[in-house]
Order: sequence, then C-alpha cells, then structure tokens
Amino acid sequence: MSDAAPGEVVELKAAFDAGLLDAAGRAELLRRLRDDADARAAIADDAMIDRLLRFAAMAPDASLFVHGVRARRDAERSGTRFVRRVRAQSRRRRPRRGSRLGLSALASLAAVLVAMILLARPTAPVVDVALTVATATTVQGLPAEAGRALVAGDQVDTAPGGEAGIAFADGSTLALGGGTRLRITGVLPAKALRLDHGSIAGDIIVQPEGRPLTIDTPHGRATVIGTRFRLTVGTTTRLTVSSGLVRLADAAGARHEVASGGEAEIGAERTAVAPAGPWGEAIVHYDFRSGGGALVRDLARRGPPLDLHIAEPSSATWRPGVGLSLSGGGLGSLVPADKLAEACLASDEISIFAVITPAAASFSDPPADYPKRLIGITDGFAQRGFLLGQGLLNDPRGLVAVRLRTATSNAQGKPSVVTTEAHAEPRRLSLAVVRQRGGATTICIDGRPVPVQAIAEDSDAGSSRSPPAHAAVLHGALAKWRGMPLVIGAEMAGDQHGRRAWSGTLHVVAVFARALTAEELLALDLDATR
Amino acid sequence: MQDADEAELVRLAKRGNESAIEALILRQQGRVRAFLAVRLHDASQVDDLAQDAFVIVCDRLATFDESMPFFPWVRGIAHNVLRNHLRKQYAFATDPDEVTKAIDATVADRADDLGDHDHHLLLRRCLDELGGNAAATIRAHYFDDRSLATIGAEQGRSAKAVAALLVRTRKWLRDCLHVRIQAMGGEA
Repeated sequence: MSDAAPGEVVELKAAFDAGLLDAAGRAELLRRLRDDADARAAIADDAMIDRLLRFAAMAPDASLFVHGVRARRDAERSGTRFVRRVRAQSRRRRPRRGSRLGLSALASLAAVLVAMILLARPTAPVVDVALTVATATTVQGLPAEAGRALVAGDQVDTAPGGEAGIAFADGSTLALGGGTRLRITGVLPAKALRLDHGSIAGDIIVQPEGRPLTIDTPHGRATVIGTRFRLTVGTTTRLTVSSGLVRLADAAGARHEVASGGEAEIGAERTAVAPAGPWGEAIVHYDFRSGGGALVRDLARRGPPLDLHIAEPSSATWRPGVGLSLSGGGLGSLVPADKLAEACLASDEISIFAVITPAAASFSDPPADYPKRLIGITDGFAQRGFLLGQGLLNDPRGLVAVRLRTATSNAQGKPSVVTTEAHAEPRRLSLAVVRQRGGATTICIDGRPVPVQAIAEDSDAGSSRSPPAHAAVLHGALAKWRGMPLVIGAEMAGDQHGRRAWSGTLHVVAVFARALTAEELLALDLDATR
Repeated sequence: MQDADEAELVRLAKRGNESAIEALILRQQGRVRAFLAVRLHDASQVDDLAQDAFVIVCDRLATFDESMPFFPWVRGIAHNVLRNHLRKQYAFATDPDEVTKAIDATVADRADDLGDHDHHLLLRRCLDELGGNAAATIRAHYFDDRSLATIGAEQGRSAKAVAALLVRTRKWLRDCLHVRIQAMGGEA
C-alpha cells in the first residue's frame, strides 16, 4: 500500500521535473516508482499528459511533417545513386593488369597530348562560391578582394565597420556585417556554414529537397530552405525572417519554425520565439498592455512606425499589464496613415482586430453622440477611410458598425455593415472586421462571426437593410483613404453632439491589409485575450 | 486522393503511387506522433523518430499484408524505432538519470491505456474547455515557455504552488481526455 496519496507523489514528480527536488526527495520518488503500484500509475498518467502538452506546444504541422518524410526519402535515394555512380566510375578507371605500352603506343599518346594542348581552349574553373564584396575583409587571415573564389574550409572575417558579400553558384547571396566571422564548412551537396559571431543577411534561392542550407552558431543551428533572413550572433543567436521559413534548433535540441515576419532568439536563459504571421503581417499594431506617457508605439514591422499621440493625457490612464483606459479623449497619429491606406487600397482587403473592455459610459452617453469611435482613418465628420464604431446614432446599445469608403460609397463610408445584435458589452472582448476583395464583410466577436446587415444610412432606423447574414457586401473597391490620420477612441474635433468619444480600456489593436482567415482570427483572439 | 478508402490507398501505395503514399502518411502521422510523444521524455525527438518510422514504412510497403489492418503495422515499426532509440540513448548517456528511466519505464507500461488516437488534437479540445487561471497557467508554462518562478511572480504564488496547480490541471486534462476517448468508443 502507498505511504501517501498518489497525488502527493505526483507533486513529488512535478518538483523533480522543475529541478526542485533534493537528493532525499529523488530517492523517495525512486522508491515509490519501484514499490508502489498506485504511485506508478498516477505518475505515469501525469507524465503522459505533460508530454502531450509539450508536444502540442510545438504546434506540430501535418503537411510539414509529410514534407520532412519526403525529404528524407529523397536524400536516401540520391545518396544511394551517388554511391553507385562513384563505384561505376572507379571500375572504369581501374588499369588492366599486365598491360604494357610499346614505343608506338607512347608516340600515339604523345601526339594526342600535344593535340590536346594545342587545341584545348582555356576553360574557367567552376566556382561555386565567391566573394562579391570585400571591405576590410580577410579570408584565412589574409586580405581578400572581391572576386576571390571560396572553398569549403575557408574562414571569412570582416573587421568592425567592414562588410563582405558572398554569392553561390545557384544565385543565393549572403551579406556579412562588420565584425563577423563566417566559416564555409560545406558547399556540395548542401551548403553548410558556421557563424561564430557577427551578422549575416541571406537571400537564399529555394534549395533542393533534402539539401537545405544549414548555419551553425555557438547556440544552435538554423536550417534554411529558401528564405530571406538575418542572423546575428553575440551572446545569443537572433534570427529574423523576412520571407520563407527557417527552422531553428537550440543546443538542447528544441526546434522552432520561424516563418515570414517572425523572430527568434536562442542561447538566452530561455528561447524566445516572437510570433510570425498574422501578427508579423500587421500594418499597424498597438499593444496597450505595456506602455506609458503620451506616446503609443506602433509595433508593426511593416513600413515606418505610425505612433499615436494621446491628445488629452488627463483623459487616459495607463494600467500596466492591462491596457490604456480612455474616458472622453482619444489618440491619433500626427502624420497621415498612408502606409495603412496604401496597403489596404492595393489589396482591396482589410482586417481590423481589437481587444477592448467598453466602460458603462460607452453605452449611456447622450444618444446623438454615437457611434463611438473605436478606430478609423478619419478626417473628422466630413470624410474618412474607414471607421470601426460601437453603437449607432440614437442607438447606444452595443451594436458594432463598420464604415469603409469605397469607389461607390459616400465620403463617410456609408453604406455600412452593422451587427444585428448588440455584441459590445462591458466586458473584455475581441472585435474583428474582415473585408475580402469583392466587398464581402464580416464582423467577429471573440473570434466567431456574427450576423450582420448592410445598411444604407445607419443613422436612420428606417433605412434599407440587407437580410441578416454572416457577411454583407459593400460594393466598390476601397478608395480615397490617403492623407488622413489614424485615430483611436474619439474624433480629434467634435461637432454639436460631441467627439463620439469611446470610454473603456484598450488592450490590443492591429490592422492588416488582407482578409484574415477564421483560424487566424481565432488564433489572434486566443493570443490577445489570454 | 485524401478521400479514398484506406485499403485502396494501401493498394496503390504498394504499387509505388507517391500520392497514395503521402496520403497514407498524412492519415497516420497524427496517431504515430502522439504514440511517440507520450513515450518520449524529450518532445523535440518525436518528429525525428516519427519520420524515421515512416521512411521504414515506405521502404517495406511491398511486404505489407493487405489483409491486415494498416495502423498496427505502422505502430509496430514506430515502436521498434523508439526501442532502438531508447536503447542507444541509455547506452551512450554518460550519466543516465535513474528517476527519468524509471518514469519512462512506468509510462511505457501504461501508455497503451490511452489507445491509438490523435491525442494532441483531443487534448487541444480539452484545453479549449479549460478556463480561468488554470488555462492561463498551462499556456504560460507550455506554450509560452515561462518558468514556474516567473509565472508564480506574475500570479503572486510560489513556484511550488504553480507546480501544484499544474498537477491538478493535468489531472483534469487526463480525465477530459478519457471522456473524449470513451465517447469515440476507444479505450480509456
């Protein structure tokens, strides 16, 4: 029989997993594993769930897995073919035993050799790797110039302030920053490098299957299939991927897939992987859970940052770890939101994502001071690019409304799309608006689409409406968004009814220039509302 | 191809049809990876071993008896790959941890109770049902890779209290997984 409840033994195991168990605790755990059947069962059950969770956290992707099996099978097959070819060539070159060359044969051979020398055209040696740029650069410790061929085993060093460029025969290129040491550890059949310190930016042509480019660093290995990336090695290894996919493995063997827009760092106390798309694709991205002062920084990695200024600091309160609470004021960009406007006009799509907690005041202001401005590209009441709002004129319930200026709408972006029910409530929730090319527009609450209608004039309760559906169509391509600022929380100037100022707490706001999928919206919702 | 009956896929795969082979791998990969994930201490080794297993499956397809069910045969190959891996691991480890070995052996004895399912997908559904602080703690520890001490500091608890919360939550998840497996008519 067990000395203590199995649950206590599992806690002993949890302490062991966390490295908190001393020698006496380990001995006790081992004894229980050997002698106590109930304890063994409880520990096994806990261990299995723990392992399944660790595996689930690696976000296993089925199609990438199949791709990996295919690559291994191809590598096996090509390795087998290579060995057969080498053996066949060896057999052809082996000299026949007992052969002798007579004088006439020697003369013939000499004639052939002379002919070859006279007739042969000089051929350039095949160069697989070469330096294309060399400033304050050495190869194997000796000063090197552009045009120098490189071979496996070469070490390229750039001095601080120097730079170098390397090109491969397949068109792949690397740019080395100053203070970099890069060793070429292999060229064929697969490129292999070692980055000891410094930084490289790669533009890698898609590599043959089973032969990715690998880059070892003191902290792990990056596996590149065909990608634009930057790798920097100092006390840690930092990776940023501009396009494509890089697999990064740390010294403990933990693997991470870093896709376009993603970043990762290994060798620190813990491995950090910044999420790739969709966050990485946001044109503007504000996380109000951390911040302070009168400036809200744009975290998006697309285009120059579009920071927002809090117009009336007295109307905004930072709540660290929670968000920015607004009451009566708003924030806006000091420059036009043209990077967002142009991206959305080019794609004719937009996804607006916001996590908010509306305050009671957002439902109880004078009825004419609606819709409350959540986010928009707007120049006041006369014209705008888009507006996501809460409530309608004379209808303070929590309907969610979106106006998008198109080639066929009016300057305020009407007709609009409005939820049929009041989904905005005084609780933490996520809102998302997705417009696809062609005009189909959906509104999602907490990651799930809700019924909507297109309304010709949303300030008129009797205005014509489309039948309720999970998407409403706003015809015409997105148009005329340039030259206006991005505002959140209120118009910069009011009219006789007010500034449509929204009250509540902002947690996260991001806008994308494409229609996100339902899965991506759910992922954003889960990620931002944890 | 993905909708073809599995027997038809196996027949085509045995003839060398690459689409059929990949469709079979896609169908079986979830259960094979879950099979290995439960039995391996290090989650990062799962896909390596699973891919090794499927390479062997592809190499030996011609020998498979189509009158038998396919997945148990695949699982058998994965089990051999796992055994060889663990044998090498313990043989070459300079200081094999006795507690880890004992836990591995315990799991190996009991893992068959979970049956052959895509456990990590079922587990995801259980995670969706989990709410509040338990869900936040699971996400912070497993998905955000935060230490118990860091989570404890954020929650105003000790690392030991966070570990205890994780134990209770894992038990809840185990029970939830059982319910879902039983609902599928499988072993629990």
